Formats: sequence, structure tokens, C-alpha cells
Amino acid sequence: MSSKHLFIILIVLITALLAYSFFGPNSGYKGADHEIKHTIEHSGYQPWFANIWTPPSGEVETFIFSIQAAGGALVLGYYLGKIRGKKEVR
Amino acid sequence: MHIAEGFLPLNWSIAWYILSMPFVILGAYKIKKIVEEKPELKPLLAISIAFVFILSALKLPSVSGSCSHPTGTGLPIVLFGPVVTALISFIVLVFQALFLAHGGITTLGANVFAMGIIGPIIGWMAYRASKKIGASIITGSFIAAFTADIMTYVTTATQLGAAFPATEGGFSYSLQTFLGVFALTQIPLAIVEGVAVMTVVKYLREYNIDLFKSAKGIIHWEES
Repeated sequence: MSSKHLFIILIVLITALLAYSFFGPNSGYKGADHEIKHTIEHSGYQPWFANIWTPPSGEVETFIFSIQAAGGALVLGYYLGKIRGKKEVR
Repeated sequence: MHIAEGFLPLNWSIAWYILSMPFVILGAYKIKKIVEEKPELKPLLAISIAFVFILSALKLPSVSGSCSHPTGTGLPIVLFGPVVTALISFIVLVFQALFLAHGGITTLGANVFAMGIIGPIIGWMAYRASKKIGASIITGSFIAAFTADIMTYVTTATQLGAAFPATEGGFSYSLQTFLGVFALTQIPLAIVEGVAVMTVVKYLREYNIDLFKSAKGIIHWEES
């Protein structure tokens, strides 16, 4: 099996899994990290330190996550394009 | 895999810091060496860091009905090996702890240990092993990324299980609880991450074979 076959199989698998995630039974798509937090709090543990700064709302948090991804994508795209451009010039 | 701020008892926080900081410092030293001795590799370093930033910002829905995110450490593992990955993970986790309240300063040591050390080391071992069984470097990158992602979450579950043993059933029972939340959720995401990594590796190999071949991880692959 070449890596090309593996690639195609994986894309199909991801599509199927995503489709199942969206249309199958679900429990509300909360963050796994959050569920863990509740499990621990449920056992009676009190966190002894809070985040120095927390995004004031879910919207602001989404904004910062977007910045994180967009900044990364900018750098990634720049260098991948540069590498390709260099090869085409040669 | 982010253990939330304050969600590890103080002694555990300190212990994980002590275990992970040597790797982070060694990673900083290695990156400094790469920049000085092989400055032509800087684009690959930038791509690796950028890639981890992107993937760890994506919260994806999974079959288990909850959301989690890939780690993105597969790419730096394949290109540079686990030590450099430790520093990259450290940078991303500090960013998320300070600006997103994901993870925290007190749990940074534990989170770096899971995402930047144990995950990458086992991913790196899987990468080397896949070469031995005759896989191509593209398939090898998938295996490295998938393994690193899963092992990161297994490590987090173990860390939590150790810090919060159940009153009945102890460590093994609480480990099961935490693995139950993390492991199943993570399998599809690890596949997504693996595909992303193999795509970038394939692209790099196609368009700049010289640059690609001088990365430490690739040299190891070619030699072994």
C-alpha cells in the first residue's frame, strides 16, 4: 500500500467520522478539558490557583483562538509559498 | 490535554516542572544551535512552530460527543526530533495559558510533559520503528503524528489519575475515568492530525528536497 492509498483511505475515514459526529448521537460537544474539570471538582477538589487573566467572554476567546490559528497559517503559508517559488525560479 | 489552572496539587505541579524544564532548556539550546549552524533551516523551524499554533487552536468535534484539539507536534517531531518539539510546545502552551486561560502557569510543567515530551518521544520512536518495517517517510509521518497525539492524551490521563486517585479503586479506577473522557475522543482527531502532517511533509519533500533532507529528523530517517 503506497502512501497515496493510505491518504485516500484516511480522507474517507475522516469524512465518515465527521459525518457521524455531526449527525450521530452526541452529548452536546463540550470540551474534553472541561469535562475533566467537572469530574475533578465533583470529587471535592478545590483548585488553589486561578488563571491570571481569562477572556471576558466566549466571543473574545473565539477571537483569540482565531488569531492563534490565523497567525500560524500566515507564517506557514508564507514559507511554504516561498519554498515552492524558489523551486519554480530554478 | 490542558490540565486547567490550579487543577493539580502543589507538589505535583512542582514535580512536573522539575521533570519538564530540562527538556525545554535543552530544546532552546538545540534551536539556538540550528539557527547558528544551519540558518537555512530557519524556514522549517518557522513552519513547525506555525503548524503547532494552528493545530492546537482547532477544537474539533469527535465521535464521543465532545470536542478536543489535536496537538500538531507531529511535524516538528518528524523534522527535528523530540527535544526541539519540547520547546515549541512550551511556547504554545505559555501563549494559551496567558491569553486563553487554557491550561495554566501552575500546570504548565505537567502539560509540557504530556504534549512536548512523552508524546513526542513515543511518536519519535514510532517514526523510527515505521522505517524499520519498510514504511515510506510519508506513512512514517502519519504514524509519528498519530502516536504522539494519542500518547499526549494518555499521559494527561495518567497525570490526573496519579494526582486524583479514586477513594474506591485508587489510581487504576481514576485512570480509567480520565482515559474514558480523553482516549476515544482523541482517536479521530489523531487521524486528522496525521493527515495534516503527512500533507506538509509530502509538500516539503516535493518542493525543496535539499532543505528537507538537511533537517535532523530526515537525516535520521535516511541513515537508519
